[in-house]
Amino acid sequence: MVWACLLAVPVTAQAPSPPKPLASPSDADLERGHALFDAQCARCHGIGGTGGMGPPLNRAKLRRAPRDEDLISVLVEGVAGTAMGGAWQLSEREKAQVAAYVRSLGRVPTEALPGDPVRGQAIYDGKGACAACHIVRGTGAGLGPELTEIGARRGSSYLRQALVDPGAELPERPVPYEPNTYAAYLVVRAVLPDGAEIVGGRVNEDSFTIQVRDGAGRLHSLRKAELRSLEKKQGVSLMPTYRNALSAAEIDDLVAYLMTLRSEP
Amino acid sequence: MIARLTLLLVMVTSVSAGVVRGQVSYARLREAPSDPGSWLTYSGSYAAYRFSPLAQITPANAAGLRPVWVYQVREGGQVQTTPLVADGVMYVTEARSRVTALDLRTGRPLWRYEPVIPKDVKFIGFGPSNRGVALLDQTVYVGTLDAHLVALDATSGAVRWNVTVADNKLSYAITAAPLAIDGKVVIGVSGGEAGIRGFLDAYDAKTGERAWRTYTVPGPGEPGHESWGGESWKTGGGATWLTGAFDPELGLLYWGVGNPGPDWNGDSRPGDNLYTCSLLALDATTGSRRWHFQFTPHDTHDWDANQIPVLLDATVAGRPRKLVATANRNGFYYVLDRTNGEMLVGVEYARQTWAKGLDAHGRPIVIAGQEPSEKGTLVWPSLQGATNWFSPSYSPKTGLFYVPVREMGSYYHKGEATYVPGQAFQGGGEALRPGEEAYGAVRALDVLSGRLRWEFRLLSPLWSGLMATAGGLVFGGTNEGNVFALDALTGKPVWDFQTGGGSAANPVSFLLDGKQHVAMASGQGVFVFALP
Repeated sequence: MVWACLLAVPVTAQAPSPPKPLASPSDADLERGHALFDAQCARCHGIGGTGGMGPPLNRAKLRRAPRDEDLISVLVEGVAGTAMGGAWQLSEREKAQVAAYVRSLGRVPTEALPGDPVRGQAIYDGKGACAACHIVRGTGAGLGPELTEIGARRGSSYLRQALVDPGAELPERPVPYEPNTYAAYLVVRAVLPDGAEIVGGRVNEDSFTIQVRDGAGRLHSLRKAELRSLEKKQGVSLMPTYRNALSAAEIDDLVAYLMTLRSEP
Repeated sequence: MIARLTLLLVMVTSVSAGVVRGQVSYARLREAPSDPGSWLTYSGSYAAYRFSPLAQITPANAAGLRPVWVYQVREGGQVQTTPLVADGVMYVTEARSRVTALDLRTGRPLWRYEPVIPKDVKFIGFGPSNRGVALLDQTVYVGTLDAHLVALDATSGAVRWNVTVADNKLSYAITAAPLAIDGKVVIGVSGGEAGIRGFLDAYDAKTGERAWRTYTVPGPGEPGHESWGGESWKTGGGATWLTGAFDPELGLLYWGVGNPGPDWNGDSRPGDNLYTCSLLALDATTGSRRWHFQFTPHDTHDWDANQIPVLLDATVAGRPRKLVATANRNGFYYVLDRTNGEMLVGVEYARQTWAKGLDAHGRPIVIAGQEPSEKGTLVWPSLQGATNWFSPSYSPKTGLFYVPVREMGSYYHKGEATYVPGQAFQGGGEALRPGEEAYGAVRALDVLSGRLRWEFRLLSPLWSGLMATAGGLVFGGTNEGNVFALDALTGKPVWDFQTGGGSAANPVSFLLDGKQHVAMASGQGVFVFALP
């Protein structure tokens, strides 16, 4: 049946209790967990848990899963308000095997980043002018995504891509009431009845209306039926590319700084 | 003396009028289309059109619709109820099988029934929602999450009887609205993700005694049993989790049957797995099966066939036919002869990538390699289907069948499945294909040919049903909280209202003080709209 309720998770399968972590996973368990991870988790978390659209998991401490039980809870329930849904398609044993594999990733040495975070912070505050659009620990402007925890949310490869080609892969967020994620900060171009043009990021949308914030931070609430045209632009971002504005070494530094932005190591 | 007699007569008349008004008799249910001021049964009538013959609200004036009152539920959880309306009272249900009777004029509660639902109640594969009650005579019937059927006094909400339909420890549950027919209450069960053996039950409306039970998965010696390999029939699924239709003249119930178990791993159940993913025509007196039509043999995508069957009569190729039309979760629209199950029409109404088409008998010509796999197989529609539990609508005025559509694909995963009583028995699952390409739509199909007449696109795949009206409108709701009305002939939007919470329910219409109203649940409220 599974008509799927409209929560962040596609289906609330009420299991009596979450599966127990494997006390001492066998090689076969880890191998199975590895295969399932590559097939179903790596799309967001990267092969080997190096991160991407989703956070890196190759760390000794995981922010949302300090204990093995928490790791299984994340697999069962997902993380509300993010693109992470519950992995309800996995059986209880499979969830435990995936959790065991994810834990094993934290025991391998973490990726060494080439840049210098101190120099990176200077670029963030100086020639990068990142705070003109982003907030870190309460400081900056809220036009783009908040970056206070960005090092825990994204992998370095994703951040590097976002700096060089910001429109390539927009962050996703779930839309309320729909177990589906949509691109956040999607760039739209709306032409008003008088011919005036509004270009900005989509803040929200329903079937009849759309809310757009332009580059100057002004909010425009528009009824679709009244517009001359409404275009959703793929592959672009309101954020400028730093491909030419920063050297390769400076981008390394900035990525290294961004990866330090998390409340826990 | 004459004056006294007159007074007495007036008193008698008014009292008896009061009693008669409060009786939703079988005769009144049967003639529901000629009582458009009420909404007496889940789909509005036994033929399940979800069509209101009221015509005061039209495309010309619908822009003036305003909320009249809002009832906010007390039990958190999605509100999927179809409100029933009779004699100045609206009956709504909330999550965990709560029933509230509301004063139709103000929305103020008159009584409330809160069944004791065990803390460890099992509902595997769905939420704790409830889709509505049934009315018959002076009684309100509700199926509960822990698989009881309860009869309530319509005046007070007091329990008249309460019977156990099935064992919730085995994950049988009830979310569907019962269907009240002549002296009987018919109720279906949920549990198709937990290896139940599905059935449809009928109970004596007065006593609660079970009149019949028909299993949807045939046991040894019964026709269809050979379509199940080994012992797989014992955990074969086949839930009956929505409300069917009824033809009083033929004496037949039409009821959809859900997926086989385990859902996405069919290895343990070789064969067609009758009568899962089928429409059953059952004798309403005995429950015996008259015919069946299987939409998706040996389903591995969870494409239940529980969607509402719509009964209509029409002349086809010069011959008057009794028909049943349904838009199936698998992406095809079907028109069958409802006397014998013969397929007359079977056409795609939404994107599907699993079948080349249907053969002359309606059996899908399956494309190889579309089964779930460990890595995930991308198939349209998603496992929530091209449509799902929310109702379609048929307008005899326009001859159009309105389908709420979900355009979305998903990656189907195959996993292991071991049956443990009362636990999930699914064998995999899906990962939705995210992004902007998924969308919702209201599609108007020519009822006899299934040809698309118009489409109104919506931002995201729908979870709400539709209601057409004689005023020439189609009402619906969106995941983003809009309740809207479209021109039934063209699909042009004529009104929308933001309720502030996503809608996953079915609209109804009724008269209050001679004026047409429209009601629909959205977010945590039941909204009632009317013209100023």
